Amino acid sequence: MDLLTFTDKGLYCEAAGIYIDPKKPVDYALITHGHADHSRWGHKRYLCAQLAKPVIKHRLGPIKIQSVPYGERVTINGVHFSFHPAGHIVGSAQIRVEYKGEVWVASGDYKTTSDGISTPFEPVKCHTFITESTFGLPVFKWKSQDQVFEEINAWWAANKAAGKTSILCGYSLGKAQLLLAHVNPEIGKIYAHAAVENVNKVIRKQGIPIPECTRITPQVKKSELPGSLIIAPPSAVNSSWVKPFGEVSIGMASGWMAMRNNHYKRMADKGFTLSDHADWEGLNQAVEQSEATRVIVTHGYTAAYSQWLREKGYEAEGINLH
Amino acid sequence: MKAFTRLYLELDKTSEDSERETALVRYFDQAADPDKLWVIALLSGQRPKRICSISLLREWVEEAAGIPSWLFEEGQKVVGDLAETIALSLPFPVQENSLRLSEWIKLIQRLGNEAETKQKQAILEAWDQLDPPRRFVFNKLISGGFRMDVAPTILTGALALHTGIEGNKIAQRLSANWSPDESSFENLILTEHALEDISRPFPFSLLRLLEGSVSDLGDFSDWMAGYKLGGLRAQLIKRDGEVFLWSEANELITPKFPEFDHLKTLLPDGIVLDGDIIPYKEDWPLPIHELHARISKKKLSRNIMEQVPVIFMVSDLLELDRTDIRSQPLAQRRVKLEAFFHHVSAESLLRLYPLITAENWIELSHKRTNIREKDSIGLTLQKIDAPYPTTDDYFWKAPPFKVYAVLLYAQSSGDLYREFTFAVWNKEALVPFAKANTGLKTEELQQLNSWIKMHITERFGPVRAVKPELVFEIAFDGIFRSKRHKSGLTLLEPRIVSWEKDKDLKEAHRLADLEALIR
Ligand SMILES: [Zn+2]
Ligand SMILES: [Zn+2]
Repeated sequence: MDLLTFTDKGLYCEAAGIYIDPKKPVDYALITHGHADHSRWGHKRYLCAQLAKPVIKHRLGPIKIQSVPYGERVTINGVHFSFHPAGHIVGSAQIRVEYKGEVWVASGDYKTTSDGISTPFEPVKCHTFITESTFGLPVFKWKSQDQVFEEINAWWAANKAAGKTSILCGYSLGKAQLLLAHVNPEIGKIYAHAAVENVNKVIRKQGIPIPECTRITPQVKKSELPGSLIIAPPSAVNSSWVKPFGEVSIGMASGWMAMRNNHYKRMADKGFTLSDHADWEGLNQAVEQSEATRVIVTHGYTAAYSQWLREKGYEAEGINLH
Repeated sequence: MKAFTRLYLELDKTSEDSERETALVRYFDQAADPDKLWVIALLSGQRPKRICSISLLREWVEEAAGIPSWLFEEGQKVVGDLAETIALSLPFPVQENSLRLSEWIKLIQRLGNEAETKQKQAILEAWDQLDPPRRFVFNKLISGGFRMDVAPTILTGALALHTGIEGNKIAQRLSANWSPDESSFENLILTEHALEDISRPFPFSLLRLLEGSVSDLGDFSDWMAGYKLGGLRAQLIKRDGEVFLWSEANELITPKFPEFDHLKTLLPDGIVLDGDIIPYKEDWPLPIHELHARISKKKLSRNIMEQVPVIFMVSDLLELDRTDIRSQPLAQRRVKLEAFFHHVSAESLLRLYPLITAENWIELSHKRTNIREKDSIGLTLQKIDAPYPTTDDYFWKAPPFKVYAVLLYAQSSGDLYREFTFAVWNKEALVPFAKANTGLKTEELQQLNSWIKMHITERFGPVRAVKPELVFEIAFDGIFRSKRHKSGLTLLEPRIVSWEKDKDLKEAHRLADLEALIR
């Protein structure tokens, strides 16, 4: 019997009686991070990494939740659990599970490069490594974050010179804060969509330096906007929302922008390849550093990535959780 | 090649004419002459010869990136384009390369004569020096797959803005036979060509769509009304024994219509006629899209010339006996034009647009109602005392056709479903016959979107089939038979008139009703 098994409620540890990032309501849920596809409402008890707790509480409201610092061991029914930095967003964690000498790591979403605001990814040695594969193909390779922000800042400055308002899209939890932390505030004024600023507030309270920005409201004068930068979630950016802002340029920050033909092609004028997930090299590096001999691939290009690992000698299988 | 790659990606991203022109001007303004010349060549379809097959490139990339063939293919499934997949599958470059476009092309042309091992070495080296976007463009260039369809008028317009030379001169210069290997930017674009002066058209008088009421135009007796067929607006010029045809978009289109060569002998010198090129066969105008199909052909075959013959319908005379008569009032020009037609016999190529006689606006409006019976798409209204060009030139569209139809499919663009497919009844089945993406107000569009989300029955790629339930009134300006469409019909400018919330599914029109509209 495997230490962790995939059930219709989610990743299950029978020995401990807990689930990791469960999809359906359970008694006890261990949560890797605050994104909606990992932390859901309706469980009786939650446990997460200390840095992830404020955002999860902000998103889910009154829930019964405990947290532990990275690396600290929690034992449930004789199974040892600990949370380790995953570098994906603030507070994101890989969950290490140890029982009778066998070690598994459920990595959740992760990124192996350091982004300056989330705690950098730490390789955790294990026997079985559960990895995502959102970008698990060789065509996905990220250039350095510094280079991308050079492009973003140049784009903003050029828009400003042309009298345009820059709208930069990124998910309100994670990407938006990453953008805010690295755009150059000397170029102009920064605004944020309410959904972004609500998360910002929570994260600033944790002592993580997210620059101040003005909430964009109907009261903001249109005349103030040209030259400024608005950070907004992609779901909010549509023609009717953008209309009152006058002449705009819409940028999209996502790993998918590496390809010319992507989902956002019609929406965005400019794409920036910036992801909070590991690229091809990052996935391979994480698998190697885990020193695992067995790898379970979830989320993304599961069939291709597990085949690749098998050809490299791993015992690997792809599992589609959806 | 950085600037060129940026240009390529900008052109690739938009189909908006003004944005493409801006991108081109920005490129030309900073590029060196040899690079500009190559961009002009590439955009007019002259590309360097393919030096190796794309499948060979694939082999090399799998080796260089250290990935198995099947994995490369998985990437291609996601990316789509092979040249792009290759560019993305390789490791990032370790060196920098600052060769310009024209230098790269020289290098590529030289490689064409080398042995395969030499080619491989040079290409691997290039990949190692270019970032993925430049690699992608490079792959397109070496594999002969470079394609960027930019309308000639956009290229001409951008060059005109960049050089300050008139657009029709540029068009004339580009229409010559030239090759980027033998010419230079200086010679091709900046130097006067021999026939330039005699070929020059006059600025076109813009035909404006009449949107208000005709009675707002004032006294009926001040106006002249004429029929209008569906065609391509053009000026036909005969000077110094040569014939030239210019489209309203400032494009020299003489080579597209060799039949008008005959006019060299049939017309006197020093003539400029304004009018329309009409696809016309056995005394019937053909649907306009057949003319467009003929124009878009790179090579004009005898076959297509027989399938889509053309005539020139003349509406105005601008130059007569080498004299510019544009300052004379329209009424006088018309008299001269009719006299000119008495002396010319070129019936098979050249015809005069007849005028419409009426006593007043009311009678004219009546005649407009039935104007489709004369094969017209509408009528022209011009002030009789106006010179050429004038702002008093109107096109009064024939009333549109209207039918009731059922919403069948919706396709999203950006955040909303914006493109809709409509169907009519054929016995008990609904047959799709029109796609429309305009006509709904913002609130209606939003309302329709929420309805669609709750009534999706099937998904095909980006298209959603919805429960057949909603009825819309659809308008269109023309209807033709088409073998390529399921309904056997194709429409001109279909658009939504209204969402008929009170209409029942069964009240939609039948396919037979549509067929009855075709003449
Ligand atoms: Zn996530
Ligand atoms: Zn996720």
